[in-house]
Amino acid sequence: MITVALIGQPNCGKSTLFNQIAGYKSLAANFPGATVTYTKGTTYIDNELVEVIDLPGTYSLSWYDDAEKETVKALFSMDIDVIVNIVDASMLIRSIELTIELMSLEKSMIVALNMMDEASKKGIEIDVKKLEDILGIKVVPIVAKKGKGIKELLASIKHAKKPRKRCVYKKEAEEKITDLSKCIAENLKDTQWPLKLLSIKAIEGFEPCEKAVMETPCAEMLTKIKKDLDDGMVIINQRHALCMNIFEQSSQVKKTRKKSVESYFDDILMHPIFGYIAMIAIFAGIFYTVFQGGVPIENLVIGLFGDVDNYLSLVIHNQLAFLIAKGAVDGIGAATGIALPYLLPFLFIISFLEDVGYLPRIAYLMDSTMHKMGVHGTSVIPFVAGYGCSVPAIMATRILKSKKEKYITAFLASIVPCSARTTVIMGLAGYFLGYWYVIGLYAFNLLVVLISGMILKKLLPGISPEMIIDIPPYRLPSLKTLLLKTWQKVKDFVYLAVPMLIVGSVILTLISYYHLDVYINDMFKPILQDFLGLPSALGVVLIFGILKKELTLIMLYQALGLSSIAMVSSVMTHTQMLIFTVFVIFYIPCVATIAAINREIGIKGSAFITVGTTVLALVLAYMTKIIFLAL
Amino acid sequence: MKSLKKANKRNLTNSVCGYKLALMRLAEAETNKTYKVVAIEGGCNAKDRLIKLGLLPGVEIQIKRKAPLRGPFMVTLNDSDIVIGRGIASKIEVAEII
Repeated sequence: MITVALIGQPNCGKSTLFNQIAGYKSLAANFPGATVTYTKGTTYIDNELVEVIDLPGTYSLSWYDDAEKETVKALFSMDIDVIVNIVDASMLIRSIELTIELMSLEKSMIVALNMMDEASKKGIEIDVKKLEDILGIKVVPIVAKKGKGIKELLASIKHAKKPRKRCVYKKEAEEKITDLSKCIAENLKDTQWPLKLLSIKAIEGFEPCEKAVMETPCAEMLTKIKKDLDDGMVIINQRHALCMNIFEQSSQVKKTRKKSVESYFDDILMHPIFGYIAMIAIFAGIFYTVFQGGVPIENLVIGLFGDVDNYLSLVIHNQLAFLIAKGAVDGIGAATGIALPYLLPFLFIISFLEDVGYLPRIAYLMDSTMHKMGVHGTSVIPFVAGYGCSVPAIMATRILKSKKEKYITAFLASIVPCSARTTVIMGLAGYFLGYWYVIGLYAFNLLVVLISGMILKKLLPGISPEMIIDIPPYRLPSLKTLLLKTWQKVKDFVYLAVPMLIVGSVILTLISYYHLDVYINDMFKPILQDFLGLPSALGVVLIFGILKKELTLIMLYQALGLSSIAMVSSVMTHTQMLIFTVFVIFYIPCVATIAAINREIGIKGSAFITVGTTVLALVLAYMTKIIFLAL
Repeated sequence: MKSLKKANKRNLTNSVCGYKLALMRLAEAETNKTYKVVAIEGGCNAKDRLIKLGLLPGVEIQIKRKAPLRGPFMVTLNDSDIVIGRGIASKIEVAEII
């Protein structure tokens, strides 16, 4: 079986291409570092099975952040037969830099020249044949979004050849690089790097490479070469000049005086005043739409499943059997009726925001505010992702450079209400208390995020480097891509949460049937009843909520012994609902999130976040109780 | 960098490669004027990423917009837009093309 790796710079349309060839199993997002772990898929070329690996986008093989590091590590450690280098035709100069680096790996390679349509919109016409001749690699023009050129690309994968050898740098530099490579070959045995690339990166001062060489007897040689080549600037400039040269030889640029669509949008969306107004309007619009759409559906489903319950009570006469059946039906009803109306549209909209390229622009707008929290604008990306689901949000912290930033962002992203917690905000507070409470809760949450960030900034040592982020052009994602992406996120809910809901709701039924709830409730009484003023029956709900936050709202009414969610108002006061919602927003992240935090910032970090958020939730819920009881 | 400092001392304007230059920091530059990058100093990591995004000495650069409250800059390079923090912008030496 041939293994093909897709490699390209962020936003080059790599994941879109992967979707086109490998059966829609990867995600595409229009922000740097969207593909946070690599995805595998398979396809057939001439009846032969081919494995396709989609690696996170990287600007270069000398990584800058952890997401890029993953790509380089995977590239070196995996057994890859063919490299497909996706190049954004509208940003040819920058993209060829990576192509040249990849050439030095001396593996079979193909260049997929993507976004040919965007390039011609920019007035760039590329002579593919000429580019192919200069690079010495097969170049296939494609438009991944529309599926153009995919067939040709697949066909050429089978005949991919190693790049024809060529010298990139001028004679003097090239000689020095060769000398250093030879020295390294003799002295450094265990390295995954191709020696020439290792030498180049060491001369350029890429830390891991430089360090590796400095530990060998070649250290002296490296120091001298670095001095001769102006700390590597000589080769950097030569490489850039080469890229410019390749571009000039292969492309013709017609000056388009026309203002691009981007600038019109950016003039509003990135405006010092209107930009912020637009941002607030966009998010308010999103929440309003989800709320307005969700409530009627919630009502409809509650009614529908109430009827089913009534029907069941008529057909099944055995009390226990009825309760179990009802538990199962309620579980299904809750999943489809309460979670999905809020979950689905939310995840869809977040996917849209990611793909359309708006997030880096929010990063620009929010940078100075974010600085107050010890992070910079780029952290907006995990934050916004956090409104969809905390797990990808935590994983997106990989695009952040410093440890401090990652720590703060991971903490804050885990208290941003994810779509599962949104179901509680909308479905409980929104349903019973009204829209203004929803707005209030989100505003309150933002305030807490801001204050927590400011405190964490003071507590944690280290500096936060400034932001450098690429602003991609606006791109209208295809509906297919969006639906697939939403499905990726909902899949987890359907396969994992729904069975848990059914089992959980049956267990709850059994607990109350055998009157075990008394013991469990006694356990939670001091915290829930005495401290927060909530029914102690909610303890079980909160425990299930740690497994999966979607369960919280759904199990709430079952734990309270009610037949439907609409009856919650008969046992819980509005203040109690508010206290409960505040607690749910902030308390312990779900198991999957804790695992993700563990992976990204280590066990100490995840322990701190778990304890920290619980304390925060208790304090805030208690404050809510005091304030609203006093009113 | 050495020659740059000398040039700075000698005179604020200088002529390099046929361009008439007025040396300054990118942070002090104005929007919608074209500048040429002369040198990047400072943090190695930031420099590395800047180079990869195509911001390196010799490249022409324009500031498209500045975010309020001492926020970052959005700059246009050869074929792309990037956003950089103001601190980084103060470490990039540019020359105005007159």
